[in-house]
Amino acid sequence: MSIIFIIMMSSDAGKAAVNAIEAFAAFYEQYLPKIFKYISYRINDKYLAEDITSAVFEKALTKFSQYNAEKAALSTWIFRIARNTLIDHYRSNSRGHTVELDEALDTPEHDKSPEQAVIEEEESRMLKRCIAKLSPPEQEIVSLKFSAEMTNRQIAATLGLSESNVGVILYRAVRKLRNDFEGWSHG
Amino acid sequence: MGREQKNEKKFAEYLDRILAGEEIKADPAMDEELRAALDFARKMTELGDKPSTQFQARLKAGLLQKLEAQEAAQKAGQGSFWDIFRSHPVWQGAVAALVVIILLSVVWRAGFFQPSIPISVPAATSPATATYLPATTAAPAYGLDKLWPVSIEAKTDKSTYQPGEAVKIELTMKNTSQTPLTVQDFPPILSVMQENTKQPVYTFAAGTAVRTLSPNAVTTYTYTWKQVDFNGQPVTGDYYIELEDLEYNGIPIQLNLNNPVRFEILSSTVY
Repeated sequence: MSIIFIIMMSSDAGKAAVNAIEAFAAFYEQYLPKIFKYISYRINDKYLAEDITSAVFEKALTKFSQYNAEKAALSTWIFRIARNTLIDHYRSNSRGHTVELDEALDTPEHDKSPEQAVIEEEESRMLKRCIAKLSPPEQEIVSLKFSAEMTNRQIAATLGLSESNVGVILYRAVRKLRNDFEGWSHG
Repeated sequence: MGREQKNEKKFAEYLDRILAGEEIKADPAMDEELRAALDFARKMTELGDKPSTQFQARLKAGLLQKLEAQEAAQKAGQGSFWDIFRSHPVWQGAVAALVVIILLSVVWRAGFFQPSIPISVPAATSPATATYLPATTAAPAYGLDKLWPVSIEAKTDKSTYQPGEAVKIELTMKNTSQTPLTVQDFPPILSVMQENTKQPVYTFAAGTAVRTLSPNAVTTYTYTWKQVDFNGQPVTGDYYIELEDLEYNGIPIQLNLNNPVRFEILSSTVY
């Protein structure tokens, strides 16, 4: 009986290993774009944003087996890791929220004309400059909203604020961004 | 409800629909400010950065390689035991003997070899009863105190500070359980919250220390805040402290202070 049990355990472990790899791959595909976008809203250097995104997923990998769906939704869990990684970055970087504005241009996407790609690149760069001018809580809420696509209630739960407070801050922040952005594009 | 509040509410509703990929039809009756904010929000969704395909592929390959290595190491651990067992008759004999001993022990405890006349033993003097009772009791209530057997206190060295004066926040953590406790990522994340806005003005990131506390042991840490916000700008006003996200047994725990901590930074115009 003991031998049969060991064989069954071994077989189950093999399946579990395959399942863990598949599960992590699916998790990665789903959350990488959102996490990268979230970090890009806060970090204006593309390569640094990639480094921090890598750090987030490295941490997620080491903690993946400990994740408990009953304690928090997967999105809450991974964005909490991302948020803490950003805080660690700000803490270790004495320049705080200093924004690197001279980052290299992204590779244009193939389905856009070169002119269109350049315009979007410039607008994206300007949007980041405008976001960098917002207060940290505004930046946090805007980045969670537009990258994680969380509802105001989810953002409120993540940041420990009331839902109505999140709604007020978000609306005002978007209006500020619009005014700033319009000032640039018409300037 | 005022115009501004209506717009805030509508904006939240419409924005969630836009983010869900829904096409919002132009409503002529919509407030101009709200329409402009929604148009800009739509533009923001189009302008967001995307990771390059090279970066995505490289990171994925690296992560999956690590995960496979971890899984392979675990499997190898199990495999080596099995290989040793199969290739060494001595081990096979030892395991067989162990199984026989365990079976005999179970049969003996079940009472097959006991005398047919029961021997009376006073229940109160049976050490076995006392020892095994907790193990056979139904699972205890899964309360937060079981999950997180720690009490946390924080205090500032003053309640009122002059502009520029360092604010020292001492955090004390006590293991209130009867077993040793290991805490990771110490000290925990601590935010200085503005009383009016309930927003953090400065956040101390989590530390990297690991602290092991024996029962009733206490550990302390002092944060020093230089009265500046995230941008390094000096601030004044009323503040309080919030803690968040300390990991215990791999689970992020929201920490609540036993007592609230509030303090004030005087404006430079107050003498």
